[in-house]
Amino acid sequence: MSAPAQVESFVRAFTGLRAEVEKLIVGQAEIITGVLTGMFAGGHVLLEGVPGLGKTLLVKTLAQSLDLSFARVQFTPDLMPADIIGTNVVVEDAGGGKHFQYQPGPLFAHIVLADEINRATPKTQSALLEGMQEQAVTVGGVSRPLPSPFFVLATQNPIEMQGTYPLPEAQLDRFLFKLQVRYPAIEELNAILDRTTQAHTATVQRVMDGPTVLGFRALIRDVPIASHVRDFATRVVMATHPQWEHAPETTRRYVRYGASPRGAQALVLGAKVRALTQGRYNASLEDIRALAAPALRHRVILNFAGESEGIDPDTLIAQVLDGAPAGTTRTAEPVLS
Amino acid sequence: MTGYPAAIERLLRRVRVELRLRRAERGAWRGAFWGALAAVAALAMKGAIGALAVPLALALLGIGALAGALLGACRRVDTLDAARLADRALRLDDRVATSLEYAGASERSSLVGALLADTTARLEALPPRRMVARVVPREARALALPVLAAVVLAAAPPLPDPQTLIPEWFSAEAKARRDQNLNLAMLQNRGTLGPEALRRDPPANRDAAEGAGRRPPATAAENPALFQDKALIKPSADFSSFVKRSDERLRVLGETDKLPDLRSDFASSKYRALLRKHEELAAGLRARQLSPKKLAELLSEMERLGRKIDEEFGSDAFDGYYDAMERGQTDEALEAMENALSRLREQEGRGRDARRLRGGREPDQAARDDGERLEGAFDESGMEGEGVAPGLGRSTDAKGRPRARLRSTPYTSGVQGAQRGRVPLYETQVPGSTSRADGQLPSVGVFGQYRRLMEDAIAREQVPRDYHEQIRDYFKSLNER
Repeated sequence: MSAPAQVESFVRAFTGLRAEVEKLIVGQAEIITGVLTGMFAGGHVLLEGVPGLGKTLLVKTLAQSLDLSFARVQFTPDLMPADIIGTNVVVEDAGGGKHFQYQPGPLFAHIVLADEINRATPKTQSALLEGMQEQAVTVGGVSRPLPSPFFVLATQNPIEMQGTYPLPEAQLDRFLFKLQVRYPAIEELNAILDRTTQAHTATVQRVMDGPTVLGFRALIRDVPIASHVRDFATRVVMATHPQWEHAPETTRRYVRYGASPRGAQALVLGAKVRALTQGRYNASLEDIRALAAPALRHRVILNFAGESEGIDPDTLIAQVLDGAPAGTTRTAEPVLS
Repeated sequence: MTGYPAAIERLLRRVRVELRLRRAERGAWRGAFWGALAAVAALAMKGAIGALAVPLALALLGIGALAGALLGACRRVDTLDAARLADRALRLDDRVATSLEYAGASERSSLVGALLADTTARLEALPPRRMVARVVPREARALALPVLAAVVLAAAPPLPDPQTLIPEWFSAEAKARRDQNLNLAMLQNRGTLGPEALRRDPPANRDAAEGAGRRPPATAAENPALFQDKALIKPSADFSSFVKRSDERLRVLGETDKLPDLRSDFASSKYRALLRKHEELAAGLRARQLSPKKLAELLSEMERLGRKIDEEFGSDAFDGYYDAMERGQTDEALEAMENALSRLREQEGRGRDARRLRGGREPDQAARDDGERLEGAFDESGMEGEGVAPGLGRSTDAKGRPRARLRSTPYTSGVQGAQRGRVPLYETQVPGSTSRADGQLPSVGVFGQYRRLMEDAIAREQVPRDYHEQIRDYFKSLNER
């Protein structure tokens, strides 16, 4: 298949998948696009929002649209690592002999919904996050690979913090994107009511399978990116570091730690996915700008001044982008002079 | 540029041309601005340049604009910059720049080929449009000011020569003219006086004569008739008369060698000798060129001479000098030396006033009524220590000399510490009612005295008992330093 045909196929598949999800999810187009972008980029996505906004429904609908296995884990404080990664149990064979046999946990699914991930203890969170990073889990000294494609969608509630275990920075860094699910607009709310309070319910069809997803992932990594676009992504990430000599003043004042190299990876991979979804064969500066907030907002750690003044990481990232880091020209003047 | 599709190459060529034009335009604005500034300078010197000023200003303006345009047009245009400009102008989402980078790659993926084809197709479909926006530089916006100034200067009369603005008194010609007049006046004085009259009395006789009320011999230019020859000024010039009187002038000028040695007369006074020594050492030398040793010798000599003049002329006159020498400030040392010399002059003046029965207490009727007061007493205004000594007039030191006062009332003094360089230095600051009465002494010299006073004060129970140890600790800490 030629490249234009591959790209056209990807665009068609992406659009179809989004359309299937939008049969049940009203509005939240940005969130749906972000989730799909994360999935095709090969990363995991953290969804943050108050209860009742359809986070879980979104993930369930996505799993139904894909011909992939799906598992949902409701994280609670008493959830143990073995509950998600599996454990060895004693089984009795036909001859009456007993032996240990590994029983895989819910993590051995293509799509895993980790609902309210911040309610589990750090021990359990670590077990999940190890699987996310290594694409494998180790049980009883044996490393067991997870199925591919493996895609974790975690949700967390930002307001009910009592009895929760907020994810540490190192574990937040494992998520490619952090998407903030916002309250729907009035028109969207009316549509939600129409769809969910009537007898007729929409059915979701499977439009994509696992090998197709993996093929698209390989295609995405081939998307060309110009050196100045890549340099822009690097400088945006560096501009979130207060120690960097060209960091903007807001970063110096309010940021304790900036984004990690994983942030730059997320920016570039996301930009490539976005380019392909628009039928473009190259990543552009605009792609980097569009994905800066979801890729970096959970990687920027505010200091005490930033926390106390209620600085929003999105605002900070927007200021970083407005600062037009050195090496990128927005107007003709730098070229002229 | 091989490997690029023709459409991309054409586009880049167009961008380069546009960019050069814009840079030339921008450079021309900037060059015109700086040329206009130069033109203003040329027109400001219109008086010196003359009629060429206006053409020169116009030429500077044109040359500036032309040079700026040339410099702008000749600058190298980076291919990637041109590609990015095209991407922005044509809203191609970095397609051109990416194609440019990946077209030269040895291994092209299928996506790169698709990218090149897509970029070419889009470029060929786009209508030609301007890609480099015109950016007006700041200099262009400010160009009106120098141009306006140049127009005003061109229309206005020439500015006056700056040298003529200097007051005539300070000009070299005026100074030379003054010196010439002074010399002429001196020669005229000498010419009208005989050798006997020109010989000055010794200073003692002169003082006595002045004291007796006799008028001193004329020393000013009182009879310049000899040199005021108007024979040649008259319409009918009498040349023979002029020649005849010239012989007389030559005779008078010949008497110059017989004039008294004014320098030796000047040196006969010990004050004058001191002044002369100072001038010999200081003349032609800068303070930094005088070695500290030489300055120390000079000050020692001055102090010695000062004691010969006045027994009370103590080393406190040189306090500032010693302080400056300790800090290695030869400038301040020389200044202190000047101050000491001023004091010597004041003493001389007071002494002369006393001999002439002028000054002193006589003009101060209130002081005469109050009778004779000694130094350190209180006058009617309540000012401490403004003493009057017989024949010496009113003391300029409001509280007397610091050292004497320190000996008498040490409680009015304080110790002030300072870190100067690596060596800590502690000095005694002696405050006075005026700045002239301030003085400084090394703390080492007064520390023992203060400690004895402290012990006496404690022994006499003048200090509360609770503070005894604190005060002793303080002095102990000073001693350790």
